[in-house]
Amino acid sequence: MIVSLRPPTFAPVLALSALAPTAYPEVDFARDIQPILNQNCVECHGGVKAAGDVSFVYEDRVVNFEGKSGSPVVKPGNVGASEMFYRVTTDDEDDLMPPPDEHETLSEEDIALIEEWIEGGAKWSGHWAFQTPSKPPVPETKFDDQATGDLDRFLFNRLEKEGLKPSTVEGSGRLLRRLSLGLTGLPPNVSELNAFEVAFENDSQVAVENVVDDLISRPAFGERWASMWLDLVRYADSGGLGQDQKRTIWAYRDWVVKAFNDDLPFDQFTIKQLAGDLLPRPTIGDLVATACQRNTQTNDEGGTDDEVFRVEAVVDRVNTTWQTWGSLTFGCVQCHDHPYDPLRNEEYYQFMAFYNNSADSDLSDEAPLITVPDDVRLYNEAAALRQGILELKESIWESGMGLQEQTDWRGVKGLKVKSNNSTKFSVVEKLGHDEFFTEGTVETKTHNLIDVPAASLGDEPITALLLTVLPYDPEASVSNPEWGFLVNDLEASVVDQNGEKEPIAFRLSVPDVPWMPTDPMNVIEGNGKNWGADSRIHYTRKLVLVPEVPLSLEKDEVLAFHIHCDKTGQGSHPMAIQRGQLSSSSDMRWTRLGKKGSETFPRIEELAQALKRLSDIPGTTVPIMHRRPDKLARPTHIFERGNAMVKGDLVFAGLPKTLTKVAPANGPLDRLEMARWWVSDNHPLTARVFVNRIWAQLFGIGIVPTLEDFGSSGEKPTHPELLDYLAVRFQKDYAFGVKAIIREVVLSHAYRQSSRVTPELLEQDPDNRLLARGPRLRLTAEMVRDQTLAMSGLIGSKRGGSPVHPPLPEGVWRPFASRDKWETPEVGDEDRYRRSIYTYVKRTIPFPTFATFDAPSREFCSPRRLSSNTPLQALVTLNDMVFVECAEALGKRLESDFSGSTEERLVQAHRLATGRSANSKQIEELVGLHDEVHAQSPDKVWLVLAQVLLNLDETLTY
Amino acid sequence: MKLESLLNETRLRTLEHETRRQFLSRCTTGLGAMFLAGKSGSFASGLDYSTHDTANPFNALPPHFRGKAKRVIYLHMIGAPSQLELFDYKPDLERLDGQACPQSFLEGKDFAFIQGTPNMLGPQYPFKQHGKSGAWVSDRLPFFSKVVDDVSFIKTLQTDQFNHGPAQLMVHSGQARIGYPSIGSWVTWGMGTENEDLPGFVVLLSGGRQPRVGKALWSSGFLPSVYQGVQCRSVGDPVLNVSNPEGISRDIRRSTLDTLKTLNTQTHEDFGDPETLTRIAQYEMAFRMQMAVPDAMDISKEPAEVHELYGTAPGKESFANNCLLARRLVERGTRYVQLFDWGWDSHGAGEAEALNGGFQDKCREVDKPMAALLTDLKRRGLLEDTLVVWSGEFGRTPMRENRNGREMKLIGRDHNPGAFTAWMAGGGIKPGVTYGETDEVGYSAAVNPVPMENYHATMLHLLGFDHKKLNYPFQGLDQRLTGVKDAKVIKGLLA
Repeated sequence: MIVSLRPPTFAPVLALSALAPTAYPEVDFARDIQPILNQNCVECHGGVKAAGDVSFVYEDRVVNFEGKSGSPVVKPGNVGASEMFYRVTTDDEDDLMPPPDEHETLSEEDIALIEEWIEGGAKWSGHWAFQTPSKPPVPETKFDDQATGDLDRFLFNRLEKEGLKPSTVEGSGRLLRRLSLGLTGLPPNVSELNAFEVAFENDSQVAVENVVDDLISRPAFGERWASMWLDLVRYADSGGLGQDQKRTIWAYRDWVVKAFNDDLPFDQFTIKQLAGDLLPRPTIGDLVATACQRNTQTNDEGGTDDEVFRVEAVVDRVNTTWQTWGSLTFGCVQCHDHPYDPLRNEEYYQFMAFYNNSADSDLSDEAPLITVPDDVRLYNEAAALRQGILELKESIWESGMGLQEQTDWRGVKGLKVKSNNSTKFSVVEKLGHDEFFTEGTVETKTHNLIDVPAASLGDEPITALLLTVLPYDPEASVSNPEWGFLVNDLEASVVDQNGEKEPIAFRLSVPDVPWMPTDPMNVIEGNGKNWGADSRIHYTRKLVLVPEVPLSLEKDEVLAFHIHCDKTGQGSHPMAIQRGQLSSSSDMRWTRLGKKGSETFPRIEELAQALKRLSDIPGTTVPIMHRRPDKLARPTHIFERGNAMVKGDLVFAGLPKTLTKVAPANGPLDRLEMARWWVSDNHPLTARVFVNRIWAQLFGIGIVPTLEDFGSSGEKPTHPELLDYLAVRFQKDYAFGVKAIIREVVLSHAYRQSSRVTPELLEQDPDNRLLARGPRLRLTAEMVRDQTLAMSGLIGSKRGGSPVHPPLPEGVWRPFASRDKWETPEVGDEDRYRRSIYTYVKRTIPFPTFATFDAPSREFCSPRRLSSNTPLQALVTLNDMVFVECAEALGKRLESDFSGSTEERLVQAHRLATGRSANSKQIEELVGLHDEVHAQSPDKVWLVLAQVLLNLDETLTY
Repeated sequence: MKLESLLNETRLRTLEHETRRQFLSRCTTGLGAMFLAGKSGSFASGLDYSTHDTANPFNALPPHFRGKAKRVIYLHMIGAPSQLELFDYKPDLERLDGQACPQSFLEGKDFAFIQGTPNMLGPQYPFKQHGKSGAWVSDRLPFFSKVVDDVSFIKTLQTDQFNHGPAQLMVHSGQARIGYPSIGSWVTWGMGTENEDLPGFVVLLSGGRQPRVGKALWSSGFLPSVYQGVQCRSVGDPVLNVSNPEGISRDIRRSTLDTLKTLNTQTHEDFGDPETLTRIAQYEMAFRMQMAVPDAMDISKEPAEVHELYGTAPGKESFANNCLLARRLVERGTRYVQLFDWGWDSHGAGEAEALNGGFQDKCREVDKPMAALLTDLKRRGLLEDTLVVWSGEFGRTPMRENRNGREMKLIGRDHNPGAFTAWMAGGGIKPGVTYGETDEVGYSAAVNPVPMENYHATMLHLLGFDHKKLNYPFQGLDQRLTGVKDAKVIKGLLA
């Protein structure tokens, strides 16, 4: 392919188009008119700019729409009454459109098409990708005897029209190689080649079906297809910016591999990844799936603003979701309406609202996390425990929270507040209570040292204290949250006249949320149990503290209450309480709350046991999605011109109208409904987008070549009916079965045919978009390395688990955070030779081999790998230590495992590498090299021959 | 079979793809193509996009117009050197030394480490004017002071990032996040290189550590990965995998490649795929690179006089060696050479990063070589079409850093994105200019602020690119080095 280095939307479409009109008799808006409008009109009359209120993106701004001129832009059936037609045909230079001084005028063909379209009723069909696909009639073809199914009939029908014909079937060895690499990412071994050759000669149809069923059922299948998915969801084992520190999230990678291997239907695959946490009683797998959304970059460099990067992550989730499931450039709409497609600016933020309320906030510990048990048999128990814990916490918390709301709190006055450092506090009296706040700059690790004179607490014993923390500016903070606070320890004592201190023990605390970050009913005590707004404060926050025994102070005694906030937000931001109040209560119900014999006590005991049991289950952590409680919900605003710092109108969760017109969503809308909407019956994009990805993986180029853009500025499908056929097959006939649709594609004649190309065919169809020949593709980065490992016999069979650190050239690993070690397993250790998908993915230090062979470094969703050609690739496969180690191993195999004369060994090895037997000329050449090297360095002979075999063009393509 | 004819065939096929007829026919169906080309006026007059093909991703292409610079050497001092100790002389700050910082300087500002109210800190080293241009340079750079008349200073470069990672990314990709192409990638994508036996975009590191966001600083982002920077090293393989495995001589490798060529030629005869020819060419290019790279990277053959000029010592990793290597590489046709020198983060929290400590050593390490680089390029006639750029990623505060609110033992300054100094030389830069002025204490830009996008637009302009036209569609946007903001070329710097 020669397309690769051009930008994605620039892939050449060769001369096929010249023939297209013969296939379609009538003028079609989307096919014939919209391109003219997009090229000539929408720059001024489009989504961004709508001069004279006319926008050719929206039907109701064109058809029967009276713009500033007063006459309809387009009057269906009446060219004479259509302002547009006048404007493109007039001789009056002032009226002519497009303006002749800035733009070429429309061609006669274009004008004729527009005329025909208006006269024919100006039917606005809308963009093809926004219409629900339906199964088209299967066309007839004179090559029917070669078709293995309807899929071929669509292709053959087109070939016929182009004066082409399908090729004959590929030779068995090369076909098996194609199937094997295409389905599992690994080449066949010699015995597989032998067995298939025999079976193929016997009954090729049965042989191919059997081998496809076998390959699809291998665990290697999931490993190969997961790579495609992990590019889309930007999976990496590190966080990105700042330290780019290690992120433990491999359980998600394993979930994806398993989902492909278990043939998890794509609708479930979708729902779990977008909203698995919101499913009723989610399983461990459902929760792990949501880590899909936690592959966003985080920034933990000192002094960075968590809120900025939290918002960046949310924006990335929106863009990635639309790219991955919809192949739409929704990111476009972040700053303005889409220039070409009917997608509105506010719709971006309505969609963002689905993601804006997850609990994660760019924290270094990647919270919230769950622990995935090492032992799969414990999954159900762990999920049940987690669910039970959440429910218990909520119910226990409710009993405390209920009391907090019922209590008649007395504001405390007469506060004296100072700090342990240079931070200054002032106290002012407000209605019924004192309020303290900081003045001037605030230092890190500021403690609030609050003195309360006995007189301020009244005569009755104090059964509970209520700490209220406010944002500096409570109104503004809702939308533009301030840096928050985190209480990590509390101390209280009664101090008498002589300064003698009597410590006060708190028995329990009741925070204003049932979780995040503290547990209810656990006193904050500097052991990791903390409470606060981390890292941002949107709303007023409250915490009740219940002393072991009610407090009674003598006159002249003082209650000294010290709040410790030692956390520093990202290096320098003090997570201090900057504004607050204190209240007290003498309600005796606080003293009884949660005590033995109380109503909540059994639940507290049960919770303790459940927590203990869960923490005893060994496992690995994974960051997940978790919804913030409704009372702490973050409002979502439009960002003016895409700038997160300038908040515009408040919006609520919603989906773009252009799409809900054809695929309505079920209300009320939350993230789970959004997930279900993507895989709903009439959704026009999801199934098409996914089958197109599969097609591109197998044939090298999509039916829609712009995998990243199904919008009207992307390329059109070469075979629109085939795309719809496959989409309906996938979604309806196969109920979103991924293996079934892949199976149908690889069983087609198109996939099986020979990839041999004649100069004439190459001239007519250089990129093989018509498939008059079989695909011939470069191996992907993973395949290059995995195939070499497989041929050498070194490849490890271990699957899943912690990422591995295969050999890396010296000097490459210089991570900024030196604790992130690259420790390469010794020669012979299986972890040295695992499949590429298990290699540690560090965003700031991409694995050199993968980067050289065009794998993305996974910062953002990558819908398409552009293959390139550089001498550095040859240097990898010839000189990289992994490839040399493999070549040595393969050389040893040639020498000791293979039998016969040098010629015979070379024949077998050549077949292993390419799938086909070498001819005598080729063997002669290899033997010549054998003899030549033997004369110079006899011990290197088989290494050199192995290198040749591993570097053949045929070996590196499939 | 004759390689030459094979390669000719490859070239021919490439050309065929670029005929006007084919291009236009492509446009009639490629909507995206139409729209994108349409924006630059008429697509017959030129493309917005570079159109390399896989067979030849680095062939030299003309930029939008004839630029004065043909290649770039970028010297980045990682960690952000203090402009107040090197180039931005502030007598007022000297007078304010030791006094408490006015609150107005602190309000609404984010600092990485300063807390409470810090004190002002005067320049730590004496300044003098140098050369005919009268440029102010401190006594830390005695060699560089002698070449100031070849240099233009920007005193008011600005960034909106005050943390190293995002700020370094801003300088090199115009964005604060990783995943965007670096300047070197944009440039090599746009104009290829002049010697395809060498990488077109080379990265050289010194200072003992690599920058914190690592390879993201020379990433090709969403551009094809072939345009990422290639790290060349003074120790070990100069380019990864450029050496043959142990025991494989160049002769054996030649024979290996001959056999590969013969077998691949037959593959081409059997299957007819032009990609096979591309592969043959790729291996031949690799073979040439195996010669060309070690040759370019071997500074030992340079005459003693050159070693004396730069202060180089072959065989180790140093900024001096990298400067000499940069000259050798551009001389051989490398398009973009990026140097990163680590160790300039002068907070004062430790000896190595104190203005009255390690900073002095860093100055000594770079002063002579960077002056030598300009001198050497000039005497070889290379300076006129080689753009040399020097910068950090942000500036440093006129306040003394007071980590945890306390006076520290050593002297340092915190991060300041408001204004910092960069210099440029050669390649169409008007020599001896000082552009922009900071306020009395060097805290913010007072006259002619230079936002990062203008700095980038200027670099691209010098190379012959209209920054608005050097773009690439990604995530629904025509992405540019200069981003969506309206960038302006700094006319005052142009010769």
